[in-house]
Amino acid sequence: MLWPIIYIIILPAALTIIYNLLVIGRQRVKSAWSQIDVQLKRRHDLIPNLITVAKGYMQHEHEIMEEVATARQIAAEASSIKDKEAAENVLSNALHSFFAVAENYPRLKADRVMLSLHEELVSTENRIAFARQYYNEEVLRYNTRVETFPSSAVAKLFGFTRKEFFKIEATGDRQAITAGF
Amino acid sequence: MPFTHLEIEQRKSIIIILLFIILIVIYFMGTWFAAAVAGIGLLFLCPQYISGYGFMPSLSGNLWILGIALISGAVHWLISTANIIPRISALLGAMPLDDKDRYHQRFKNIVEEVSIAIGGRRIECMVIPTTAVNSFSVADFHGNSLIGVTEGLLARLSRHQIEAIVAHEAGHIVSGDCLITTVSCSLFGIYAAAFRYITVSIENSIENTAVFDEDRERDNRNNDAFIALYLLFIGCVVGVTAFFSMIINTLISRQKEYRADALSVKLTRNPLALAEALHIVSGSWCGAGHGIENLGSIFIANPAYEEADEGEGFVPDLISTHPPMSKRIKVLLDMAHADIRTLDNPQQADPTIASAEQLPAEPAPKWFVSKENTWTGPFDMDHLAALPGFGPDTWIKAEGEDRIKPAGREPSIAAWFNKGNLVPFKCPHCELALMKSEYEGTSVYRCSHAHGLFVKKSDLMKIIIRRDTAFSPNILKLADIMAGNSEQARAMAMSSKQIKSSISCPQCGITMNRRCYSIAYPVLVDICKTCNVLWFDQYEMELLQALVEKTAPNLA
Repeated sequence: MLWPIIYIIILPAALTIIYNLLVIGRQRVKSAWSQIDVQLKRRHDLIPNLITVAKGYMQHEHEIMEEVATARQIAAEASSIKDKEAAENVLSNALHSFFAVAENYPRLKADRVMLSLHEELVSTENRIAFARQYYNEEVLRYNTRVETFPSSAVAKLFGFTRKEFFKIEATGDRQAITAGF
Repeated sequence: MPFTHLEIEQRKSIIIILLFIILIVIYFMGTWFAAAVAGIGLLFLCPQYISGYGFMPSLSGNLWILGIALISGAVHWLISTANIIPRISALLGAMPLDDKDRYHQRFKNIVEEVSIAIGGRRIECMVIPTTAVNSFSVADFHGNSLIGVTEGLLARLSRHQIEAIVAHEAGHIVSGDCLITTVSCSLFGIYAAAFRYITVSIENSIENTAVFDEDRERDNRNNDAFIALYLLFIGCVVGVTAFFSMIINTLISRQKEYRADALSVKLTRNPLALAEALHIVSGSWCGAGHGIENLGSIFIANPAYEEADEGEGFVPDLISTHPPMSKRIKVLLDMAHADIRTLDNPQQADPTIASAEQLPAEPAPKWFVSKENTWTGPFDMDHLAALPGFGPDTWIKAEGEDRIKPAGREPSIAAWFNKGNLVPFKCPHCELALMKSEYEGTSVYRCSHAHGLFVKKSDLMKIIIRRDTAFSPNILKLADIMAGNSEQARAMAMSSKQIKSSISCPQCGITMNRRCYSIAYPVLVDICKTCNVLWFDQYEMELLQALVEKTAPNLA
């Protein structure tokens, strides 16, 4: 009497619950990733404005501005997580050196459009950092579920795989722009 | 997170059910006593009618009382928990953000950043226009939430510190503490606070110490007797509701603040910033207005000073809603591996909201204008704007050039037309159009010729508490002298009558009054009472700001 109950009721119920938990976890990772994407897009949209404003003041710094523009172009075109990671790091470094150069142009620093643009950039960097933090937390939770028993067995059965973390160099994001300006 | 989501939900609903039961018990007891008193009264007055009715209500009587208590408790609950967020924010005097104000924009950005960190939950934000340093959060059953801060907090805290405070409030929201405190406040605190608010505003209008209110004094004297009766009635209501809100406060654990601090650190990874922020909050005036003492539990630091807040042990744990600030700071400092001395040297100053006005202006180009076939000028941009009939089709030529063109074709002037900089106000001294400008992060109107500032009274407080602008040594010296002779200056300010100013209000055209800003800060300014606006001549604004910073360093 006991075994049929286990086979018919408890096992399928447990299977369903675990499967659903895995699906929910995967969905959360997905939505966390889309949040990162939104914020990265925001960053890419701000950079042309930044360059337009800076052009008026930094006529002799073509190189650095071109570096930022190309880095942005590459970052905007990257698609896989690994590519994005690399491209965003290059972009962060380019922005960092841009703001280090901009330090020498007090009129640019005092420009009103530049002030609000700077605030937007700082905010965007924070948003990216927070979105990344949230994404990595969700990935950690999901990966733990995929790898620990008994959900690991269900994961293997239905083909749930580990997700990748998203890393941006620590020097490249939150501190760079605030410290450089 | 310290809890799993499920645990939070269970804990939340248990406490909310408990709150409802307490409410029913309070109503039951109230009705029971009322019935008992009525019973005794009837027994003495007309014993022949109610021979069967004793001192105690009978069983069926008790059931009736329970029914009444249940119904009135449910009605009270429904009324109190509907529209909680708008009601509490209205009571606190919280205002929506001003999207032209740099500080407000920064605050909005920070709230959006933190909401990403907690998974993209939408959080609204508001600002209480006071100089106090405090913040609060409220949430309702529908998942709406609101984080509010005071102007003082925005002015005195750096970006990192505000971020830590906002993350603390977000921690309250995600852990569900916020909903519990909000509901408990809405049951009794909100009424006590509302009545106290009315009382204080009546008292204020009697005493009439505010800058703009002295004419109302005469009208109010006649109503004194009525007001006294009213105050007595209100006093009773405040007493009862405050008592009940105190009982409910015992339910609210002090631990929630530690928990939210921990969540804030988890989100921002910056315990030092939160420690610094709490240090500033505890060192400043926390009160956020009148009548908020009973809503204290939604704030990060209790706005009303209570001795129990700084104590530990059973009794303080029971009656206080906030743990000792020193202990909170110590926990955070331990996390940061720092000691109390680091709080005196904050991490880094915040350079992001620098004022655009500090650089010397470049020599502006000047233009000649064709007027009835003669060339007049040269004028700079501000003069041009003030010329009667000046528009995009006026013919101009640049100084030192012969080429003639319509003003709209000249890029720098066209840009100026497009920006919508021209405002309908004119400088009361030189009749030039005032320019919309930015001062201390908020928008003001400025005359670039007479260097006067035209400020709405509601914006003035923001300007005074913010300290982006550096003052010239002369202004500082003058402020020093005034602060040093404060007694003399005050006596002078008290004895001086307000005089009719020589200038008229840029907004309504009525002659302004020239008088001291206040007795504590005797700087002469021009005030228009009808429009609630002030005109500051050159240096008057700087002098007022410098004086406030000298005499009340904690405020500015």
